[in-house]
Amino acid sequence: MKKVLTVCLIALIAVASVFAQGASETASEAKLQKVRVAYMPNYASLCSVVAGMETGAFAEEGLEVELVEFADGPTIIAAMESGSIDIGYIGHGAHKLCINGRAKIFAMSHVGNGDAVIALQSHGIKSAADLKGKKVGYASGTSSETILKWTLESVGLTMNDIQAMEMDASGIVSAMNSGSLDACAAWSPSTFIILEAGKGDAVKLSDNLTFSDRTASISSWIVMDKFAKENRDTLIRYTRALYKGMDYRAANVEETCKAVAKAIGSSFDTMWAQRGDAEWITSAELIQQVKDGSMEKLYETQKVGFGDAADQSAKVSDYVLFDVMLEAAK
Amino acid sequence: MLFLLILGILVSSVIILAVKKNARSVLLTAMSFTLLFFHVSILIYIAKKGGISREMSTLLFINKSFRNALQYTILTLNQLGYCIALGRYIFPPLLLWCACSFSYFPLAVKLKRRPYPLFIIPVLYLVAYYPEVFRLFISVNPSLLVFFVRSSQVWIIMYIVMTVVVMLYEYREITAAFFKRRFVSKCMLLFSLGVLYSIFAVQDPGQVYLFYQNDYMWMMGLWFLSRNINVTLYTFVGIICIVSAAIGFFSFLRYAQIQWDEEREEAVLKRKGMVAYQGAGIFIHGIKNELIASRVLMKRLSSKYGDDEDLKTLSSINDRLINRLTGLYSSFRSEKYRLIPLNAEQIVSLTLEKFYHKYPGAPVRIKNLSYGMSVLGDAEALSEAIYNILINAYEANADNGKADVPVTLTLRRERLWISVTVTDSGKGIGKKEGKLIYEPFYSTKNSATSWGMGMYYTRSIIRNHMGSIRFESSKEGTSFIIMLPRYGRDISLRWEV
Repeated sequence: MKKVLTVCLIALIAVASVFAQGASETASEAKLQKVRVAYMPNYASLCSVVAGMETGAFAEEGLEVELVEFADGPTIIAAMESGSIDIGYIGHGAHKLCINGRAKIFAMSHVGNGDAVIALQSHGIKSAADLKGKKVGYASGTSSETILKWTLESVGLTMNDIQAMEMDASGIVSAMNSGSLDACAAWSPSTFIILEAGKGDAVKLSDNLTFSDRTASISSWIVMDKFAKENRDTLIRYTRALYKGMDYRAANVEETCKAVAKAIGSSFDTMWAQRGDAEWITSAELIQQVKDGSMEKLYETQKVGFGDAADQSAKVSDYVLFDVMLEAAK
Repeated sequence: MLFLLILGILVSSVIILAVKKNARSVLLTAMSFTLLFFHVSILIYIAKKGGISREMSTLLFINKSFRNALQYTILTLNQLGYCIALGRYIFPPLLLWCACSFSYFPLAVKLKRRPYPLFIIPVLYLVAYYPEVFRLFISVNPSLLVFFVRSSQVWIIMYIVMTVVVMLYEYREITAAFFKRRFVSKCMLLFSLGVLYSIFAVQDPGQVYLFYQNDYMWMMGLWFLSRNINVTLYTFVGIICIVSAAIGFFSFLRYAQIQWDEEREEAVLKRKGMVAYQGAGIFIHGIKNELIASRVLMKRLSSKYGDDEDLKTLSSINDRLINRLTGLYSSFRSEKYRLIPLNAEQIVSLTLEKFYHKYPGAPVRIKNLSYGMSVLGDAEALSEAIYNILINAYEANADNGKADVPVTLTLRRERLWISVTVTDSGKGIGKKEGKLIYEPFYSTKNSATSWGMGMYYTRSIIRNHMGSIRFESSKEGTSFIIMLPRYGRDISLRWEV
C-alpha cells in the first residue's frame, strides 16, 4: 500500500510541475491576447491564418492564435456555443446555421470548389444515375449533404432512393478506401485522399462547379453574436491580420503550403494538391467585393441555394458583418 | 490516460476473476468491460469530432497514431451513437447490482439474487434509443427529444445516488473495524469506476446520430468541449481514480490471497490432523478406556464408602477428563456434530460454565451488543471452542502479570454473521508463533499441562460450522475473532450477564 501511495505522490508532483511550467510560460507571453481559433485540417481552412501567423501579422496586432482542429463546421459552431472556441472557420454547409441566427460572419474566406461526390466504378457506378440503391456515405448538416442532394436531384433521385449512411468525414475516407461504401459526398482534402487511393476506380460524379448556377460555395470566418459585440476591437485586429495573411498567400503559394503542412503535421504534396480548391482572393479584392455589393449578392445566392433549410426571410446584412471587414481595411 | 486507467482496471478485474472465481468477480469484470466499451466509444466520437487541445489530446489518446486509428474507424453515426448508448445504459444497473452484491441488508440481498428490476429502465431506454426507433419518436412528437434527454440523465443520476446510498447504509451497518476497513477498500474500486463513468455520462447518445438534424447542439452543446472538462479536471480525476482503483484492486487481491492461504492452510492442517489422528487416536482410545475403567472402579468405591467428598471430586475430575477426551476425539471426527438451532447466549453460558469450573472467579467481562441471535451448531463443540480461547486469553493475562484484568468476550451481530471476540491483555502473539498456532500438538505452554491441541481443535470446530477464525495481535494484547453464520430469524431473548 505504501508503494502505491508513493507512486501516486510522485505522479502528483510530476503533474504539478507540468502545470507550474505551463503557468510560467503563460506569464512570459502575457503581453499577447490569446484567441482560440477553430479550423478544419485542410489548406482552404488554414492558408490565410497560418500565413498570418508565419508573417507575424497576428503578433503585430497583439494576438496569439491557438489553433484547435475540428472535423466540420457545425461542430465548430457547437463548440463556440459552449464557449471553448472564440473564432471559427466554416465551410459552405454550416452557413445555414449562420443564416438561422446561430453565429455571425465577420470575414469571407473564399469561394471554393472542394466538395465532390465520388463513386467506385467497380461497384457499378459510372454516373449519378447509377447511385440508385447504392450505399452512399455523407456528413449531414455539412456541404457534403448539400452536394449529394443536388447530385441526386440532377438525375431525378432523392435521398430515399439511396442507402444514405450518415458518417463523419474521417469515417467516409476509411469506408471508401476499404470498399465498405459504394459512393460518398465529401470535401477537400478527403476527396483527394479518396481519389488518390482509388486511382482508376474512384470517379468524381460532381463538384461545386457542377452547381455553380445554383449556389456559391462560400467559406467564412465566424463568431458568436455575443463575442462580436463584446470584442469588436479583437475582431477587427484579427481580420486585419487575416488580410495580411491573404496577401502573403497570394504571393507565396509554395511557402504557405509548407507552413500549413507543418502546422497540421501533413505533407507538402497534400497541401500543394489543394491549392486549386478555391478562388483565392487578396484583401484588396475582398474589400472591393464588399464595396461594390458583389459579396452580398454571393451570400444571397448561397442563402437561396439552401432553400427551406435556411430562413429565407433573414437579411444577409443581419448575419454578415460587412462593417468589420471594412473597418479592418482602414 | 483515462483509457489506460480503465484498461488497467479491466485487466485487474480479470486477474481478480482468475484468482477468485465467483459471481462478484464476474460482475466486476463485466462492469469494467462495459466502462471500457463506453469510454472507447466516446473517444472515437471525440477523435472524429475534434476540437480538443494538444494537451487534452495527449491526455485522452496518449499518442497521435491511436487517435488516428479511432478517428478513421469505419462506423456510421448510428452505430457509434448506439455503442455509446449501450455503455451508458448498461453500466448504471451493473454498478448498483455490484453495490448490492457487497451488501447484506434484505433488499440488497434480494436484488443480488434477482437483479432484473434494475435492468427494466435501462432496457426500455436502449429500445427507445435505437436510432430508427428514436427518430420515429422524435418525428411523431418533437418534444419527446427533451423528455428522453432529461429523463435519461435523471435516472442515471438516481442509479449512481442509489449506489452511494447502498454503500453508505452497508458501511453504517458494519460494526467491526476490520470489516469496515475491508468494505471501504473494496468500495474504492467501485468508486473509481463510478467516477470514470460519470465524466462522460452526460453525453446523450442521440446527439451523435441527430447532431445536425435537431436542436441537440443548442440544447446541451458538446459535453466533452464544455469548459468544465479540462486538463486539470482530467488530471485530478485520473489521480483520484488511480489511487482508489489501486487500493480497491490490492484489497481484492489481498482478500483473495487470504482466502487462498486459508484454503491451503486448511489442506495442510487436515493432512497434519490426519497424521496426528493416526498416532493420537490410539493413545486417546487407550487413555479413555483406562478412565472408563477408573469410573467403574470409583462407582464401586462410592457404593462401598458412601458419599465421600474426595471420592466425589475424583469422580468429577475423571468424568471431565472422559468428556474432554471425547471432545478431543471428536475434533478428528467432525462429522459427528449434531447441528441444531442454538441461541448465541446459550453457547456463551455453557462456555462460561466450563471456564469458571477451571478458573473459578477469574475476571471475564461480557459485552453482548446484539441480543437474541441464533446459530445452527453443536452446543458442546462450540462452547468447547470458545472455552479454549477464553482459557488461553486468561492465561496470557496471567503470564503478563495482569490476572486481575478481565478478559473481554464480545458478542455482536455482523451482517449475516455472529461475531464472537475474545480479547486479552497479554504480551501478544509473535509472527512465527502466529503461523503455527493452529497446528496440532503445538503449544507455547508447559507440555505437562497442555497437549497443544486446543487451537487446532477450536479451528476445526469453527470450520466445521462454516465459520472462520482469525486473530489480531499487538504488544498490548490479542483478539481472537470467531465468525459464525447467523441462523434464521433472531430469537428475541434478552439476556444479561
